[in-house]
Amino acid sequence: MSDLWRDTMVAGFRDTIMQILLVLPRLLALLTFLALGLVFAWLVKSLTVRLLTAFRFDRICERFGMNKPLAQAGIKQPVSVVVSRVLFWMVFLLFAFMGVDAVNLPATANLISQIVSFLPNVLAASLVLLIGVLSANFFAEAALIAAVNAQLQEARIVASLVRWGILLFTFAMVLTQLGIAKEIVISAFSITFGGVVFALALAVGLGARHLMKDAIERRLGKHKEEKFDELSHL
Amino acid sequence: MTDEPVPNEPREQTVTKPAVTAEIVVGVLTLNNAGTIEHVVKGVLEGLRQFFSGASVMIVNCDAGSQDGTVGMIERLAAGQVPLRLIPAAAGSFSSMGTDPGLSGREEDVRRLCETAQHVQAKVCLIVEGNLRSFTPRWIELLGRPIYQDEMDYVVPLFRRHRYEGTLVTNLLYPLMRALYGKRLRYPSGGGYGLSGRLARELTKKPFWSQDATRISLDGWLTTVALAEEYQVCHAFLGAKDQDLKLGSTDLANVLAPAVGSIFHSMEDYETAWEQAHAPVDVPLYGVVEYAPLTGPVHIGRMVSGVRQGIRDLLPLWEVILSPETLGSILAIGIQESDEFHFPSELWVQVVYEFALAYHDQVLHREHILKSLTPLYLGRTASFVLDTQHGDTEQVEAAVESLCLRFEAMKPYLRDRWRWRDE
Repeated sequence: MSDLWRDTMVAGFRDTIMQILLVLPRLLALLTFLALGLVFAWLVKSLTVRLLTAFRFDRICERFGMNKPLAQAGIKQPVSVVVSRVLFWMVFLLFAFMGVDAVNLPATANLISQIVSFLPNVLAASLVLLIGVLSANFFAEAALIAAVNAQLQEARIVASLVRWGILLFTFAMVLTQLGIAKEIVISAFSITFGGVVFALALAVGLGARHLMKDAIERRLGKHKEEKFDELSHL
Repeated sequence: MTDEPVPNEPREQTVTKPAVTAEIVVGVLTLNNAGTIEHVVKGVLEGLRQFFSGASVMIVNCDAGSQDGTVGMIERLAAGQVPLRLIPAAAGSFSSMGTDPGLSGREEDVRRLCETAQHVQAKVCLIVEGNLRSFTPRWIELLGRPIYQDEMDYVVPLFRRHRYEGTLVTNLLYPLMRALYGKRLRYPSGGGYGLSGRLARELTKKPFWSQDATRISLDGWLTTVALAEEYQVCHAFLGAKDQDLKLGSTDLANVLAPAVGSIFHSMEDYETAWEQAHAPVDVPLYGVVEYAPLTGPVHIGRMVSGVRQGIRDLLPLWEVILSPETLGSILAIGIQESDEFHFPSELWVQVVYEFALAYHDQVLHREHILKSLTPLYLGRTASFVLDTQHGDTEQVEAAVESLCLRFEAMKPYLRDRWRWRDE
């Protein structure tokens, strides 16, 4: 009886020790990955800030009007800092996922492979988003200046339409790229875009045909010069 | 005498006295100018015959792709009289060609013309636009003689205009260039130009032709090069200018942006030259300046509403371009009554200099910076007209002179900030 009790105790103790000995290296691997992740993420962050500063990335973003929407979204730091922080967390999370994978928990099996296979989509979507936001700001600014110089009273509305038109198009592309509710996004975008174009066509055709006639005639030089244009500026 | 081919393979027509070299080259820029070209070419031939009878001459036609027989007419008119070279249609920007005064869109043509002048070792290279109704043989003398006899390098034409014509020149381009480079040379407004062979040769070596600067005004660039590199410059009064600008009217912002942009752009290339320039000196004038009478009242209503709309809608952009003090002063003028509208000279100079600094720093896309200046320019023009409407031409000229002095007095404001931003 006592032998059985002793064997059971010893076996239990040994199994537990064995399990602990098996888990400990994995935990150690997880901690090592986390530590390496912090180091590499910090390196990437520093390198990114230096590179972007060298290429005057903040000034370029300022020129394309990136700072204002970021400030409106509550982000006060320069774009280079924002980009470097995003990269920091991306690198750190990558290492963290490696660590979790090393622990070999059933719940996290294949996690890394799934994340890695989805990463190109995220990168492509980020790029599309960046270009879209930059383009929206640039073209909205150009439209605003052109409309003000043409003394169109609705200049700001025109600029907003341009900005939101491009942003809408961009968001639709980003969601499609990420595969989120693809069919719904395409349908919604087609309906919205078609509706806007149809509404504009009706507005121009019915409501503003005289305005458009004048504009086209002025462009072709058939319009009688207005008093305003009598002055030769050059 | 045999003739060597010139760059870009221009065709040589049978001529009575073919020559490898030509002392005087007259470049005629054309694009569908069948209605005016006969008058221009006959004027050129007569001018060369009357005033340069002893010199070897050549006409070079730079045509941008005429479809109305312009080139054929030139060939017919020049046949047997002077050597003619035809430079075929050059790729260029046709957007502004024929609508803007000056050499807009003709960069490639002018480059080839300068190369031809260099090739034939010309002493004088004249540029004449083919759409001039008011061209006379005397233009050839007035543009050519300062170079041919008096060793000038760059002749800028002046025309008979009323006191409010060319307000962009009188309120911005001329005062700014005068303050920068220290010469009282008016900004050219097209029609005709005179270049010395030396200047034409040097121009062909410049990187301007292949840079994005070609999208800005060639007239402004030629003038800047001549001033900054201290060529001998002068004015020639040519009389009235009547041009056939038939492709349609042009947007003010599209006139202002390249003209102002060419000066701002050149400020980077010639930083040392404009920083070291001293008090302005007069340039020689050939001919006697006359002014045309004012044909009617100048309407300023839309100008004032233009600047008011700018204040309302472009404020976010101006916040980036202008200093808070300048912006505050602009906001104050927006609430003035139309009849009492006043845009002070000091404020205007400050605005122009801060736009130049913003252009240098590229705080926004450069074209946006330039075009967003348009409403402020309209405000300044309205104020200029209101301030001088009861005076005569002399008083208007005095107002321009006063503005020029203000630009010169405030030049340290520009220089200090330019240096500070570069450091």
